[in-house]
Parts: sequence; C-alpha cells; structure tokens
Amino acid sequence: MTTENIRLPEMDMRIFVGKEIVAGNRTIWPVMRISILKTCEDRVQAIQITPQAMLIIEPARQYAVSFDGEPMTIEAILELAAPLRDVLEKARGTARIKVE
Amino acid sequence: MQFSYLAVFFSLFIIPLALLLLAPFNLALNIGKKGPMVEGSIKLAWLGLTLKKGEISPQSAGDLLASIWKEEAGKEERAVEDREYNGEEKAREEMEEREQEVEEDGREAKLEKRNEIDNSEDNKKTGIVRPPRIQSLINAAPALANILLDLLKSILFKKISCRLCFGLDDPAQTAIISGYFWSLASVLGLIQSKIFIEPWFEGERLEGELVAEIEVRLWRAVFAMLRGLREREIRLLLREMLRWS
Repeated sequence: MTTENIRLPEMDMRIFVGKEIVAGNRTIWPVMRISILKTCEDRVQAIQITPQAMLIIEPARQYAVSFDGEPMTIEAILELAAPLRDVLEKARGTARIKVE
Repeated sequence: MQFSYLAVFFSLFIIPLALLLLAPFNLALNIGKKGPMVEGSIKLAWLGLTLKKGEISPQSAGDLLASIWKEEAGKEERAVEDREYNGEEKAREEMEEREQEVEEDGREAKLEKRNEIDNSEDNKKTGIVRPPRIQSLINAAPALANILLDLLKSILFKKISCRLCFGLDDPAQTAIISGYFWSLASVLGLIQSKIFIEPWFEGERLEGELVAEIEVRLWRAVFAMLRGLREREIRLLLREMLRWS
C-alpha cells in the first residue's frame, strides 16, 4: 500500500474583523477566527466561526474584551486584528478636543 | 359522422395537450460574471423548437443594468412621442382629467375594495386572495412539502456546473450564507455535481459562472398539483385563501 497520493484535508485559519454593531453611542467591532476545512479537491467542506474578542468604542474611552475570559489590552486586540488600528485612530481622532 | 367529430376533437385538443404535458421543455443557461463583466446566454426549447433565446454580450454589470433601465425609459419615451405625433394635446388633456378623476375616486375605490375583501360572498367573483391563518398553514405544511418534493421531481438537471465566489461586508454572514447555499445544493441533490461555492471573506465580491441544462416535464407538475388537491388540508387552505365557504 502506497501513501504517496493521500493528502490530508487542509485547514485554513484566519482572523477577521466583522461588521460593526452600533448600540446607542457605543460601537462594537467583533473579531472572529474563521476556520475553513477544505477537501483534497480544494472544495470547502466545513466552516467554523469562533468569536475571539471585541473592540468597544465609546465616546469617552475604548477598550477590548476577550471571549476567553482573560483581560485584554488594546495592544493585544490590535496585534490580533491589525485592521482595527484605523478604526481606533479614527475614533480617537473624533474624540480629541481641539485646543486653540 | 360522430367519429369524424371525435377525430377532430382529439387532433385539436387531446393530442396537443398530451404533447404539451409529455414533451419536456429544455432550458439551457450559461451565465458568467468575472470582475465587473457579465456575459451569458439563455435558451428555452421544446420539441427541438427554440421558444426563446437571449444573449448577454460581454458588458459590465453596471452597463447591463443601465441598458435595461434605458430600454424601459425608451419604451416610455416612444409612447410619449407617439402620443404627440398623433396630435394628442387633446388626449393628454383627457388623460390629465382622467387622472384627476382617478385621484378623487381613489379613496372610494379603496374603501370598496376593502369591503369586497371583507365580504366573503364577493370573493368568489373577484378572486381576491387573502393570507391564510397560521394554524391552517401549519396543518397543511406536510402536504405542501410533499407537493414541493413532487414539483422538484418534475425538474431534471441534465447538466450543471456552478462556480460561485461571493463575499458580503460581514465575514460571519458570508460563512452563514455559504452554508445555506450548500444546504440548497444538497436539497436539490446537486452535491455530487460540479458545484464550487467559495466564500470570500475579504470584502464584498460576486463572481462565478453557471452552466446548466434543465429539463422540465409538465405532466409531473400537473400530477403533483392534482395529488396535492386530494389532501383535505390543502383544500381547506385554498378555500380559506379564496374565502370560499
């Protein structure tokens, strides 16, 4: 029996930032991990979405919440999901008070 | 003499009807979208005769929509031009008058229509359909599912190949919709076919191609409907919708 042609299904795991959820003056940016299990023919066999964390932006402050129960810093969530950097900068920019 | 009448009756009604029910309708679809360009063709044939044929020449999706809107606007413009050409200042005035009358009568007409809907006796004449009660729908659900399955049997996918790459603005929604597509493919029995559904999580996107040859036999659909009508729940549901007592 040869095992040359046997390929195991590939697992593709990536982190994505979801669509923002606006609740009053609070904006929640969910961060999720999407795992895609592909067959040998490169067809998608299964997709798993796992929420990882969320960035919460309020007019006065911004903070991150991790779903694993551990405390999470803003730096940690930015490391996890780099596209949130722009979101955060924009939020900080609008919250800044101009002093003349 | 009677025999000749029967022969005429058969040749005029029964044979065409039997042909219509038994001979399959063939629908050939070939639609593709790559980047902003859309192209494709569609062909409906019956007994080797082409009933309808249409082609979409390669053009962007925006252009395609614009051409459809332009075509509709063109039809309206042509109608206006025709009216003007025939000296229709008078006609226009008449139309304006009519519109005013319609506006005035609108409220009354709405009230009358409402009364017609409420009056179960009149519904037989007008054929107005009302939404059924939830309980009736629940009762008829198994029978409706059977009808749907029977109707699906009337459709035969002779050849199908689909490659779809799509993405929504939310990756989670993209994954969920992708699951729905796979469920649909599974229900239609297309899981073994050349179906490729690739979710795109990086942003909004729609690309792909669909090549299909579908055969529809009307007798199966008619049979499904007749079989459905034999079910008491379906008859009750229909009666309720048509307000027949």
